[in-house]
Amino acid sequence: MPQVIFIGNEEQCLVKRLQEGDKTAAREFYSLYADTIAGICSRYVTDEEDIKDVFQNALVSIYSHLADFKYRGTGSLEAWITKVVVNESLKFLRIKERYMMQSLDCESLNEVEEDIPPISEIPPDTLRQMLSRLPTGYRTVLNLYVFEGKSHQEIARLLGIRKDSSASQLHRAKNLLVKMLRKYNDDNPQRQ
Amino acid sequence: MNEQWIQQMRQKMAGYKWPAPEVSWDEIDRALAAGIARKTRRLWLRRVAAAAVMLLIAGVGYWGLQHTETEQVRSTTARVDKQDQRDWLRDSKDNAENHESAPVLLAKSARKTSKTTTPVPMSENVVPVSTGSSDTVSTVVLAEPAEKEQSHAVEEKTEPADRIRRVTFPDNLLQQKSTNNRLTAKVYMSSTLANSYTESFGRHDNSSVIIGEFKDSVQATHKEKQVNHRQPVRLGFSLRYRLTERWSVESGLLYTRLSSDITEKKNGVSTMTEQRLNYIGLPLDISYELWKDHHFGFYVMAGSTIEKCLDASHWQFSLSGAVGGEYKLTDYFSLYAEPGLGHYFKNGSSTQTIYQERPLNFNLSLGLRFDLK
Repeated sequence: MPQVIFIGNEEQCLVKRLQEGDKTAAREFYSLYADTIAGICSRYVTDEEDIKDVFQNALVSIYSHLADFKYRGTGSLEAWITKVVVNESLKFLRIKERYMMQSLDCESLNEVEEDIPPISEIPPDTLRQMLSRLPTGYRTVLNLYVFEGKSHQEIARLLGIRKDSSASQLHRAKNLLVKMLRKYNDDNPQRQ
Repeated sequence: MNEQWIQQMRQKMAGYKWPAPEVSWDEIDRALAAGIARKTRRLWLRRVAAAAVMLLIAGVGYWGLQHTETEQVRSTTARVDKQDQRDWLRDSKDNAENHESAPVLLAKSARKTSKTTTPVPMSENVVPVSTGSSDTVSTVVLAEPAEKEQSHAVEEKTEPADRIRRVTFPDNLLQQKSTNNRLTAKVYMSSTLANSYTESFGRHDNSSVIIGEFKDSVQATHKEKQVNHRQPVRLGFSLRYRLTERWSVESGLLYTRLSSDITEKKNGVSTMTEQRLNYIGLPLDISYELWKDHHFGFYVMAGSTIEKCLDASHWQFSLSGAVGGEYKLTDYFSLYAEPGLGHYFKNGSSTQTIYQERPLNFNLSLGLRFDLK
């Protein structure tokens, strides 16, 4: 669901102006999308300085590839932006957390998968904090699988790992998340 | 895996925002400017690359045509010797008598039939028969082995080179400006996947045998005629302009070459004539994209083509439909194949062509596409 709502063909007009190199359009784009872009970065990268780096790289990447963007209807700009930001985040993680990503393949699974407790009462910021406490590899796989809707096959290709290790990373990420959610619900019984 | 938790998580984080960090606008402006510059540079690279590939294809196509032609010339001229020529001269003298002073008559017919083409100067070894016929017709006279010891080959008159060199790509087409919509250029080669062979026997009066606008005026002799149409070869260049996401229009220039072998037997003498016709055409197509991903694309197209024969006065109109599949080699280059059907309308001309013989043709077009913008 697109988060930035446009009236009429404003989205398409904005794209057109951006592609023509209109600087006011670049500012307008920033005011509309900057927080959303930073939000995506913050799901992948935990440290604030790192978020800033990835955010800036993503913005540069968006602006320098805008000419290649093809408008395909309402919301297509946001979908494209998300894709670019996720790519930039992965690029950053590949460099900075190379060893973490490599270790993904070495672990084997011996845990029972647990069900996620209700999360309706949990604020998004708290959920993001929980995600940030997951090991980078787990968090990355979970992000790609849950929020980006990638298959294990695609994740395996993106991260250069085996398909079954993507599945086991997700499994572990989920179990860790369950623990954190339970703890949160225990600590905040008034919210239940 | 239970999908419900995934849905809940997505809803929870949908549109999640994080206060955007301060960024340096200088850097972003530079990126923006660099991106546009890069795009422009790439555009030029692409145009240059496209032009180079087109020239290459045109060159290869031209070489191909030239090559087959020289082969034919070689095979027919190899058998020419002076004795043959003398024998032949005697034959043509006989013909001339039949024609009641052939040169005059033939000169007349040449003038009559080549309204759009200038008469080609006669050289010494050009035989009257070929002068009389359209200037792209080459003639080989073969005697029946039972009657004469040797085959007679007559030096053929090759067509003027510029007939084939008509495949030109105007420079300005490559530099054409477009609006925001994508502009795509393509070069292609296409061929009809069938030969056609017809045979006719019987007595003909002086107006019934027409080869490339040349009327053979030998009266009431027994004749057999065989026409073997070869595969038409078509080279083209088009620009496609995308109107909407899926609809595009396309037009360009195409060159078609038809060649047919016409063998006639009369009074025991076989005359083999190769008829070559060159056409320049203007196609107009619309296409609709059915499906597309990063590498493959499928579409349907329909269109019409009007072609002018360069060797005779007739025009040829056709309608066509095709399905196309394309494979993206890089971001800007793709290979495609378009199998399709074409219907060629009767044009009222008496020139025998494969189009008149088989109005409905299956054809296959192969080519390269380049995104210009």
